[in-house]
Amino acid sequence: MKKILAIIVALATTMAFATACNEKTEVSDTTASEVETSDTEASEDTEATEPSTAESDMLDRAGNGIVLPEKVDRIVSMAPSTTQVLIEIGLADKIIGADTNSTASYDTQLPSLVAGFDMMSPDCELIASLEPDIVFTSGMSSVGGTSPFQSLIDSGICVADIPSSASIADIAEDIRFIGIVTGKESEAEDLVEAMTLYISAVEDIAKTVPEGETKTVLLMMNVPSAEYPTIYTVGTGTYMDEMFGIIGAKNAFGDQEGWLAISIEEALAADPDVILMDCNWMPGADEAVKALEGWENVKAVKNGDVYQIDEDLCSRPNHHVAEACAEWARCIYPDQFNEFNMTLELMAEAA
Amino acid sequence: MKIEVKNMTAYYGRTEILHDINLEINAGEKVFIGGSNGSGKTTLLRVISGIIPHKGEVLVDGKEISSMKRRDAAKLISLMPQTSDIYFPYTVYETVLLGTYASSGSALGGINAKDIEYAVKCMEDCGVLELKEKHLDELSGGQLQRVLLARTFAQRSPFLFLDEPGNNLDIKYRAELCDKLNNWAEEKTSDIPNSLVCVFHDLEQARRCCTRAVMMKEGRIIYDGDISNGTTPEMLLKIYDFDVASYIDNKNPL
Amino acid sequence: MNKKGTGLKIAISAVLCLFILVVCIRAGSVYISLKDLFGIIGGHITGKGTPEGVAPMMDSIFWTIRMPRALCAFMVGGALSISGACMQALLQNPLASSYTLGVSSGASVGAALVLVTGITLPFFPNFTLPFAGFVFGLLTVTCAILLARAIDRSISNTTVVLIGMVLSLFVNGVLNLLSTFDDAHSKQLYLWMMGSFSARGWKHCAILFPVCIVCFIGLMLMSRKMDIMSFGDLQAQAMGVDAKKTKIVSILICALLTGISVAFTGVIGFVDLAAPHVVRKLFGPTHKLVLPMSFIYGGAFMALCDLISRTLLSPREIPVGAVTALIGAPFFAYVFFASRRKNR
Repeated sequence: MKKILAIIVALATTMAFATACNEKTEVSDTTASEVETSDTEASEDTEATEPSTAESDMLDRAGNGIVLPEKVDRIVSMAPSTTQVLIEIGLADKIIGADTNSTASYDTQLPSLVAGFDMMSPDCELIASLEPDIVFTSGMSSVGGTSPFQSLIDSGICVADIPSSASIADIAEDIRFIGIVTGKESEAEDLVEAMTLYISAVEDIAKTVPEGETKTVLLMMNVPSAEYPTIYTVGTGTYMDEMFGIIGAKNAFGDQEGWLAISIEEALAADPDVILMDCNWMPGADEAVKALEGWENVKAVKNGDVYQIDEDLCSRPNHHVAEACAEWARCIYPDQFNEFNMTLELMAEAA
Repeated sequence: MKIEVKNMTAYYGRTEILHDINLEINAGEKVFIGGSNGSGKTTLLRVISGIIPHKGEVLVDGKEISSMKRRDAAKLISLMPQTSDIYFPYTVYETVLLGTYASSGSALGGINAKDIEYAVKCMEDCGVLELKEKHLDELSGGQLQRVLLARTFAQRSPFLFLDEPGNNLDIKYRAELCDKLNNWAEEKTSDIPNSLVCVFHDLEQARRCCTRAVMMKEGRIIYDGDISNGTTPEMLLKIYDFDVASYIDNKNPL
Repeated sequence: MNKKGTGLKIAISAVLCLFILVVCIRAGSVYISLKDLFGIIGGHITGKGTPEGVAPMMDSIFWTIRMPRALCAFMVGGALSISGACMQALLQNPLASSYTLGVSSGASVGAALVLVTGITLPFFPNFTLPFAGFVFGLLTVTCAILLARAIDRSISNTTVVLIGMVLSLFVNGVLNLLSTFDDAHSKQLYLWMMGSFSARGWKHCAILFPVCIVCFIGLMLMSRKMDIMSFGDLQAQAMGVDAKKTKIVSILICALLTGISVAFTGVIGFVDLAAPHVVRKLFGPTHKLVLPMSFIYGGAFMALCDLISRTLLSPREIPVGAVTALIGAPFFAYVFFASRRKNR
């Protein structure tokens, strides 16, 4: 009995010490951060003439103040959507670093590329060693509110964050922002204009779809299996939902908001006319869905209207989503859209 | 009809427990198996009833017991083991009825009206009929012992092997037990006269129930004959290495 | 004997179990009226097809997805429970289950090997996993029995439990090693180790059903032997039951039941321990009643657990093994301690 008591007492004291220590470290943490903030305030006060603070009137797409570099010769792009825009506004040769998704897709178009980085855990030291003038980051990288690029920001490199946009209007703003930051405003504006024109062209054709023939479409980002019975799709408040509106189709889960996880039963109950498979990582996803047990009665499966679409085209939020609209539209309303073979380039030229 | 044991040796693991046993038990006999703790009495009962493997021969009605089907062997010899662990609370009725398994006519051991009738009779004989709906875990040690006796009776075999059936019984029930066993031995439950083969620690019980004594020591039979000669003070001294006569009240003639 | 009371209890249990099954089929992310549900079931049974006024999609959801899933859960629960009941009688231990013999973990190793090596059965590639699970489960039990026999010829209970435990520990070690070597399948392996009825369809039921029926009949024919066996080997032998033979036959049947259940759904614990225990409390220990009632109670319990596993965090699914353990363990502890108090 005494032994047990002794153990309990010992445990209790250790616990008490441990908590005390924790409190201590917390205290020191706060003091440290206080010191830091006062430091930065002080530097802002004393070094007000420094360009870094003087020009900090620009906000990036995430709303953080950034300091624009004087020249943009060395760019690191950490999102394929951004890389694509940079290439198309004529900065391909200035991209010295990119995320691995970008390098996989645009490798051949990037002559000055030095290194590829993992999107989720970028090697900030290596990025810094490339001495970039600007680093474009995306919402994809920040997990749980902490940016993995904080050390870059702290080292004084211009980090321009472009969070994943939820609407096409925001996508246009993203492109304009890239243009402003890199000094290619008019080129960026051309891209936006091409996108806008392209989208209205699609909208015009979509209007020819007879009333009452509006199709319900289910976008699936995976094929459900016994191991992963959940299906990922989109609801309102996403640019993909907006794309359905442009095409004149009804999003099967347009009554819910945001990026969605749904059950197989819900998907079946929605009984979509067309299923779009947005998953390049799984070739043959369309056939896999057609073969799913219990899906025989789904209109899309019954009529063979299950299509694999190009994930790269629609999942990279930039002007190319306009082309994705056309791709989807050709699947959903082939009668109206089969003739529509416009490309963004042509559209830009036409403009 | 008789049981013949010829040059039988039995092992427990690698230890030889019984050495070269020769024994003959005729139908209708009432045999007391005596001996000190660890002399091999229990093993002998189990070997003869075919539960423990052995070397040599154990013939029941001329047939080797170990090559018989278990159910056929149980039709000839019913053994009431010394230990009676209860794991699941069957009712008294269910328990006694299970005793009819071997003798039941049904191939799969189904229960027929005759079995039920006989089980009820056995319960009555053992004075446990009024406990019929009680669960085994609700019984006292003595009640349980009587229930298991009823179950052994229900097996309907001509040879009844009892391993210390007096355990847990008070003196009154022990006396009653002797009457029951004697009654049963007189009864005609089949074409073969009923035989008793009993291990007792209570010599009084042994003398009341049995006429023949088989006395064992260290895995060998050292006496086989009339019970009065088998339980003399000299014999008991030899068996137990202990003066039993002076321990027991002198007025009680042994 | 209180036959009337028992009859009433059986009737109530059967109705309750049917009710639970209907609830399990109806509940989910899509709603259906009772009338439509019975319309769909009737339509399939009579061969008339989906009745008018019922969307064909409802037919798909309920007939193709939910019903087989619920029935599969029911049958697996029932199969595990009767094998548990049987094991408990054979080992004279109300806390025993087929787990103590290592069938489940043995089956997991089979499935893990299939996943890691990518071997498939010719002609029936879809059944490679269940088949491997079953064969390995049987192998584990056979090993256990052979080892036990080598140690002591009459296969005493302690030996069997000990050997089963040692084997399942060993087998678990192998399993962990396998999942360490193969990261790609670790998620799948993990799910399989916890059990799931997701995407179980009629093809699974079509195999489970006959196996369950045959094994159930087999065990029912042995029900009186099992009653006798539950008094221990010695008494069983004395009463005319060949303890060794009965043990081997019933363990094989149990291995088949558990092996096929585990193979189809993964390792699901606890049901096989609890259901027979509860049934014995309600109906007494006679196996003629314990076996069918265990099937019903275990099945209904498993169907309920599956319902919880697919609806609680819908659309995500919780492994059903986690649900059975979470609900079942405290309940089982309650039953266990309540009975101990009563005995004292």
